[in-house]
Amino acid sequence: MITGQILAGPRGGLLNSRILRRFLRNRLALIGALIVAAFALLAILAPLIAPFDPNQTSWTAVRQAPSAAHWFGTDELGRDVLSRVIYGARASMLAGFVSVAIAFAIGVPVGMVSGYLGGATDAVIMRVVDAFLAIPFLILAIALAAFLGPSLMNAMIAIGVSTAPVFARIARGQVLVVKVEEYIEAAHSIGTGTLSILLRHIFINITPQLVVQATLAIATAIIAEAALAFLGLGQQPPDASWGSMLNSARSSLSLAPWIAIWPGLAIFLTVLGFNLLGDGLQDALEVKG
Amino acid sequence: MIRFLILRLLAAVPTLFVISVVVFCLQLLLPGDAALVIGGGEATQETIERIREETGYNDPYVVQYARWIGAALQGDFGVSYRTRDAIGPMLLQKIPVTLHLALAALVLSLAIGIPAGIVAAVWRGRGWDIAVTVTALAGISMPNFWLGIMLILLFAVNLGWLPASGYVSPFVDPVASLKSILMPAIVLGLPLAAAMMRHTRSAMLSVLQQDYIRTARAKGLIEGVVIRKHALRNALVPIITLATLQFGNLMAGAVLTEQIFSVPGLGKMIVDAVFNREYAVVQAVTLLSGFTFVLLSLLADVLYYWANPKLRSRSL
Repeated sequence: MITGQILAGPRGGLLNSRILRRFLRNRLALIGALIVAAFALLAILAPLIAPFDPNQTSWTAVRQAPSAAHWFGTDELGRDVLSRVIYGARASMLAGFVSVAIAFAIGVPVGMVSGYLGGATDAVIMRVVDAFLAIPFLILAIALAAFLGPSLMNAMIAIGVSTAPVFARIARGQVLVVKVEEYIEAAHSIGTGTLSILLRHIFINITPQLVVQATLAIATAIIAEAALAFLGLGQQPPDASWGSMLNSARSSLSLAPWIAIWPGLAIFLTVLGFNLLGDGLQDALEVKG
Repeated sequence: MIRFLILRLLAAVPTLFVISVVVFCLQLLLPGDAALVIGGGEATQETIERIREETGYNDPYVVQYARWIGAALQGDFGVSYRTRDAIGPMLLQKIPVTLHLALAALVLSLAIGIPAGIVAAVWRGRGWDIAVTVTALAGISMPNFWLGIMLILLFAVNLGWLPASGYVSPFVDPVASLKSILMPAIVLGLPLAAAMMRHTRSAMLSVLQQDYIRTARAKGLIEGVVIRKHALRNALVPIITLATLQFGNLMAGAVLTEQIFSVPGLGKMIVDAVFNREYAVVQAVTLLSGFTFVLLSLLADVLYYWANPKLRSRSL
């Protein structure tokens, strides 16, 4: 199976397989990968790239239009918008990866166990998953973040928990397909334990689907974090985040529209990058949508 | 059909039950309990104790849950601890506003999404398809609160054509109402239109590969008739089913849209409630949206069943 090769590094894994060739032929996917890489670099190297301290206020430079000194202008407290957009990439990237990691860590084991065991366990777990999926994603995230209290960490937990059911659903569905394969029966017949079968035989084979889903989920998580921050439930001031920058930009929209343009564009590009990458991976790995 | 309906209704009951438990359990996440919030920072231990006794926070959780869901099912969500107003009637006031916004957005998204999706499927792989596909992906990636701000900047601040915020009921002043709902509906509807485009495209693509399409073409029918009468009619079923299931996205989008345009609907209600620490209101809106989704997916199932002769003829 192609799918098994992805994690198998030495035996010609991702780097020299036809998966990579298929991926590289897809121009949109490449653009997505480049965008994601660029914003990841921006987040990691923020202190080196940002021309100013993102939290440095200046009363003499309030709401200045874009200029040679401040490419993106300054905000209502005289802070450099470009530097804040660069630092904002940290909150967004962190939120994307951490909340999806949380969702993955909760959802995948639950879904795999549910699908593998079947029967009553499966029925009960799936009812709970259905219930979580029924509550609109952002409403659930807002409710969770509201009860947990506003902070970036709590926003990531809220988004992660709200996303987990999606992973449970997909993991379960894939397990149902894979578990009837002959090699699983073979592993079972030579006395391999349940946990070992789940990890070494089933998990490896459902990885492509999960990777695609994770990439698309990061896109959703980044929008969700920005939305929560926009509502005041994410990254707290003065630390920069694209969502909270947009929120404060609303009050001076007619005076200083540039404050609102850049953080929104940054969210849009990052999310588009992850969506393009996810779609590309979906095609390259021949995963059904 | 009736048997199918009853079976589906019965299957929905456990889901509704678990939703209510999840929503009830949200309050366990609070550091301390709601009595501390109601009492405020300066409340004495005695006052807090009295509030706990009055509101029943001292009872076991099972008793509290039973009391809460029992009342909620009768439309009683308690009272706001700030204004002492009943929450149930407040919800009833907000529902029509959000419904108006959601319907306007849904109409807009179907009007844009379905034709664009058909164009993309019919001219698969050509310029139009790529343009539609990329636009759809952009629409999905666009944070709608940013789109809202940009629209306000253009149409309200710079051009002055539309009001930047507020809501007018269509029964009070239809023209002003249309003006006030236009921008929010675009903001809420465009991402949905993008999703509809993608659904329509894939539904049409799979229908266009069917044998009966080849037969229709072989008969010498004009391509327009094949697309309209044979392909679209069959593709519409999954599209409409999916439209029903988009409710969750509409509800979530409404939270942000209503916040940006100060539209006094359910979405603004939940956000205001978060900041006023009206946790009972947060729970009420969350419960309501979860229940509505379950009922809508039931409706989607019924629509799918009703529109699909193959399913109808098979005895369940």
